[in-house]
Amino acid sequence: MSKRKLPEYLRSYRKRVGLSQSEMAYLLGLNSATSVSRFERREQLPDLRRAFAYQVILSVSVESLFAGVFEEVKRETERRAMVMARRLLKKPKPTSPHERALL
Amino acid sequence: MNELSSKMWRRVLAVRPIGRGFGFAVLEGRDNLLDWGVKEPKFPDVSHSISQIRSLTDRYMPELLIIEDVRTSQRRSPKAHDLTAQAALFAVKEKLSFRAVKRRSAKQAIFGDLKVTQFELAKEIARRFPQLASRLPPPRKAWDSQITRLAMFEAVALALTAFSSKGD
Repeated sequence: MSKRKLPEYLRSYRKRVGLSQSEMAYLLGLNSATSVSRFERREQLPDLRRAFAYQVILSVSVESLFAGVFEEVKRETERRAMVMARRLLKKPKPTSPHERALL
Repeated sequence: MNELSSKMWRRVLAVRPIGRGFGFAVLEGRDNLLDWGVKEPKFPDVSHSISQIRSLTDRYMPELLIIEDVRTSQRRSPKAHDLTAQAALFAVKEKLSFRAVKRRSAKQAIFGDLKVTQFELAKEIARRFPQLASRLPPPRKAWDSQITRLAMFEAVALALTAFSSKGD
């Protein structure tokens, strides 16, 4: 079993503050609890606006709410940065401020 | 069963068999209660309880499954014994670490004292995890039947043994 963070902790935080799925749906501006259920079952990721709404309602950062997703994105981005850095090192000299910063 | 090791578990699912179902708790570390509740499947067959345990393990991906050790208890129902055995088989099939923990170990882990009632245990768990406070039942009178939702508090206590240095 994984030792990594869970992809999301929406249900945990919602239960912690004592909100039902219906109540959460209303606060998120959704018509029904079905979407909330889908988010919590990881069938669907909420869009950016809903993610921020979750942050406001639960007073927990989006990064913490979606800790596992954040960790995965961070790993993938850092991996791509390393690949880019290696490519840049092979160039004669850095050509842009961004490339120089990356190195 | 083996003593709980002092290994640092990340996520633990604990199950406390009752009547037709079980109380459960998921802890991520000693202080982070991810989920809790009582499951009472519509059908009394143990396989339905195992199916619900599977749903919990799919959702929370625990490293360790703890279930109450009822093997030496003659007061517990045959269903409770059966669920413990089936849960052990489930854990083996899923390659999940598994521990059967006696209630006394859970009481010791929290109180260091065995002479506490179910209600006192639940009260202490609710103190540590305030989100459970609204689920705390009133103290039981001698003629009252068992309160089902106490099982979730006992499941939390079982889960806490994974983060205690004291074993079985």
